[in-house]
Amino acid sequence: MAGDYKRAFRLNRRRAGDARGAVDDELALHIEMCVDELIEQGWAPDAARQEAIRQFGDVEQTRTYCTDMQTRRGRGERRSMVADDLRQDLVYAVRALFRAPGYAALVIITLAFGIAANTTIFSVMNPYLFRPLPYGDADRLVHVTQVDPVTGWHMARFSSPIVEDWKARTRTLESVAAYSYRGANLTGPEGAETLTVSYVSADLFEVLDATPVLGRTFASEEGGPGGQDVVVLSESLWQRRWTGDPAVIGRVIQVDGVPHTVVGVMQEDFVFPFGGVRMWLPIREDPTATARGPRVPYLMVGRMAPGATRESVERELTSVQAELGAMYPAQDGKWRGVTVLPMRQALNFVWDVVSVGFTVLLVAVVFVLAIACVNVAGLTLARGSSRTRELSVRSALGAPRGRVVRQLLAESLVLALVGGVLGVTLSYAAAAVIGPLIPEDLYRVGKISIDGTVLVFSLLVTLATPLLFGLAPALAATRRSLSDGLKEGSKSSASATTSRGRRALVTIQVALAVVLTTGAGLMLRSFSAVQGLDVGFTPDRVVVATVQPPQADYSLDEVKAYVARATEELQALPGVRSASASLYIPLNHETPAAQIATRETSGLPAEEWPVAVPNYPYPGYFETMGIPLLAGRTFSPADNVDAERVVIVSQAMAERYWPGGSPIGETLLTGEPTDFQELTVIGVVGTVRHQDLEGPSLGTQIYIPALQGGGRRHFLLARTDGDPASLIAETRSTLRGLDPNLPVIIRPMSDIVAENTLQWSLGAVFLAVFSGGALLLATLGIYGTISFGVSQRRREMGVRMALGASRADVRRVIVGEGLRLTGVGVATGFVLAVVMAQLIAALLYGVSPLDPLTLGGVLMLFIAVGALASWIPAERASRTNPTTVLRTE
Amino acid sequence: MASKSRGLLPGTVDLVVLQTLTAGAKHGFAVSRSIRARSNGVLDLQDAALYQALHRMEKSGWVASEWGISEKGKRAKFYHLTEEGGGRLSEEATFWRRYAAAVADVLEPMPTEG
Repeated sequence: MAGDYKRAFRLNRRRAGDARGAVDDELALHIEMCVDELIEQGWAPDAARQEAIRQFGDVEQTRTYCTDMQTRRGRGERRSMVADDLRQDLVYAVRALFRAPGYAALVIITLAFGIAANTTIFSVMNPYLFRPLPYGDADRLVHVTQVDPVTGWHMARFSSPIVEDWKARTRTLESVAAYSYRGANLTGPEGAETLTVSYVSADLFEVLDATPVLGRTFASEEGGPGGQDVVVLSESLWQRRWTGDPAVIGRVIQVDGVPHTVVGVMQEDFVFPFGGVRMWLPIREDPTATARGPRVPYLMVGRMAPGATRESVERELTSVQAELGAMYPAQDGKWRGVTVLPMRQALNFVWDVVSVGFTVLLVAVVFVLAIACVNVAGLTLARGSSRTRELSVRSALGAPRGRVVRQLLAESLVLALVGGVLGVTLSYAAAAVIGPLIPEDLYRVGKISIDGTVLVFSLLVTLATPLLFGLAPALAATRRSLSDGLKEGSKSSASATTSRGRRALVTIQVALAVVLTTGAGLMLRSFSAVQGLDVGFTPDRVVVATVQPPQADYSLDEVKAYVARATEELQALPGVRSASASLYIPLNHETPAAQIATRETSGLPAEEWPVAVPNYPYPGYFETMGIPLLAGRTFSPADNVDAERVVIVSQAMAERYWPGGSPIGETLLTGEPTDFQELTVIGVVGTVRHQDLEGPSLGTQIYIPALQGGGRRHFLLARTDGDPASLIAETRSTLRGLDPNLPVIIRPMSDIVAENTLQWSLGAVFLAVFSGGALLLATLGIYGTISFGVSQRRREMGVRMALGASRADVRRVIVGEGLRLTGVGVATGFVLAVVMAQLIAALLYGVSPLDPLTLGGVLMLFIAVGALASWIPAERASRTNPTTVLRTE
Repeated sequence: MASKSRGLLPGTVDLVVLQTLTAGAKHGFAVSRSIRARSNGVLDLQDAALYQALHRMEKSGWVASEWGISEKGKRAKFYHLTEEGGGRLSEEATFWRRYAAAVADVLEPMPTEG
């Protein structure tokens, strides 16, 4: 009775799909054994199979009958057949793969890398391009900028009266907020540090619809002239400096030496206007008391009214601007159009590079995955041809072709899923490495991480791969098994199909690898071009210390005294050749602009006064930065407020405004027609790259002695004869000795310059890694195909050698074949590369997307790879013993 | 169901198959070849009928099965007799022996009268 119980238990649990599979297995084995028996009796294989099936009787009816017996299937159970079939397919797939562990492992690893590359790049792109902005109803938020008619730059800033005027007049924007950002010093028992802080309209958080995690945001009366010294912290600052202590609310902290009360902490994912901003303070300016002058510190965001579009906002604000221009021609009249941008695009400083760069990387990883799939398809195709017999028995048992294809696809799916899990695991590690490489100030929402969106993306990619690598081989395998059946003699025709398929796959693989390698080569060439670029100064061996003495502790004169003292002490350090300071440094992502005129052009209207990039250095700046003096003299300590107003101009500036003559002693005006300063040119120095390394540099630069102007934030500079890294610690202790409460940020100048080459260095690294992988896979592909071809053609080689061909001849034939295969792939790849040239062109520096040196290098590389990959099978073929081969085959 | 086994009388398929399994567990192909050999090829049991019988009897509990590896290294389903199947076999065998003897007796030439 126990047996009965056990049997009943098992039968009840058995699924229809399982039972069917078991019956199929049983019957298939029977037929196979019959065929073997008949072949032993001398039957031809195909006839044997027909006879075995004839002898069996009604296969299909038996199959149905036995399955019914196994399952006692009722009507209700029939409905779940599809699910059962799928489950059964998967169970079968797992079993089949355990029987081919080498194949499974190779496929899983290949796919894991492809999926890891895709997941990683997508996880990097996600916070920049896709992750929802941390603001409520963010689609209705816009960034409003004007176009500066002089420079043509967007992001022109606004004075607070203009913000108020726009706010009062606009109907398409339901609310408007202004903001600015700058460095600030945070001091206290937790230590002194310099942070980036943002000054915002008191209602900014309402406009953005962002809520704090702790405390509150600003009340409207806390902003403006009668406001309060209050501050809202970022979550990261709160965690780092106050270890997430909720008691921070109400605490008084020192911001630039002024006590401020902490009122709130924002959510972890809140970011505005970019990632490095750690605190928000209310704008305290009184717009009614502020002159409509040249002071334009603010940027503007707005929330569109229901029904408004970016175009309607743009139209309305343009007409508001025209109206204001008529009212205040001297100030507002000089602004041209209004541009309304979506927040994500506006807040990212380098949107153009980011969007194009990520697109290129995404295309690159899709290529990597495609190559991986092609590789796996090759393996699957080879496996399919060795399974012809197993598949034909299944077909003989009445399994429709679709069913067999599905079974093979299920195997691919299982492999893809395992590869996907492994790939996503790898990408966790990769994302953790890449995250810190990208500067935080590039606007992004949250961290670079594998979140739900990324996982969905990876799942879709994973599910797509079996169709890419499994479908074609499955169709090929079943087509073959249907036509050729169990014919042993059909080996050669089956392998011919396989061989053609493999050749096509290798061609695709080589072509894709060529495109990636070309991309990597172009990025490397750009990187080296940009490395070799003369930036006009010598950043090596220069250390930069950023200080911003706060208003509470230092008057502007005291700042100058501090800088003079610091420069002196730095100069005295051993190994320091020269030391100086300035208000700006080149390539630090800050480009101030000053309007200028010569005597001749001073009659032009204000908006036609050209612009130059001003800097305000201390004596010794040019020596320390390594900017050559070409004529006249540099500044001395005597060029102070009491002396004549002087200016040094760049060579580009001199050539443009005083062509053919010397500018020394000439007069330069800066400011506006109604309000300018007269400066006497005393020197000409080399032109530096100030704004960036790309594109035409705004080479018109002017230097005005810092001693004749003034500012709070300074860059202290020291040039050493030795290693700048070792100077950093000494600089820090020197400056701490001067004022222990003054935060200092110290970096080598070469790091600051390197930030400007990040897009090429990162791009080159990424593409080099991807193309390296692609090259490896393509090499294996060529090798595999040629080896396979050689193994199929041993007889031919034997005949050739029997007829007198030498080993070298045989090698030449095989290597020639490998090179032909490579050549077709390379040619296809070059065509693709030309088609895609425009995509990458925007990212290149000083090199054409069709750079002959790069393309030539890629060609040589692939010829070498093709020759190498076919040399080993060629060598093997050349050792063929003709007599053995001719006897055995 | 027995209608498919044209070579054998109704009811005899089960008997023959069960008898074959008394020598130990076998997979379907072995059962088929064993019957063919023992009957000197006279009993022509079609494979379709054999498998239907095996599955039917498995359901009835006369035989049980397990998956094992065939002599050629393939995964195969091996059948063996259950206690119930053994009992059934002896009942059937007794019946068939009596039946066959009776038929044989009937087929003896009729004694002539007188």
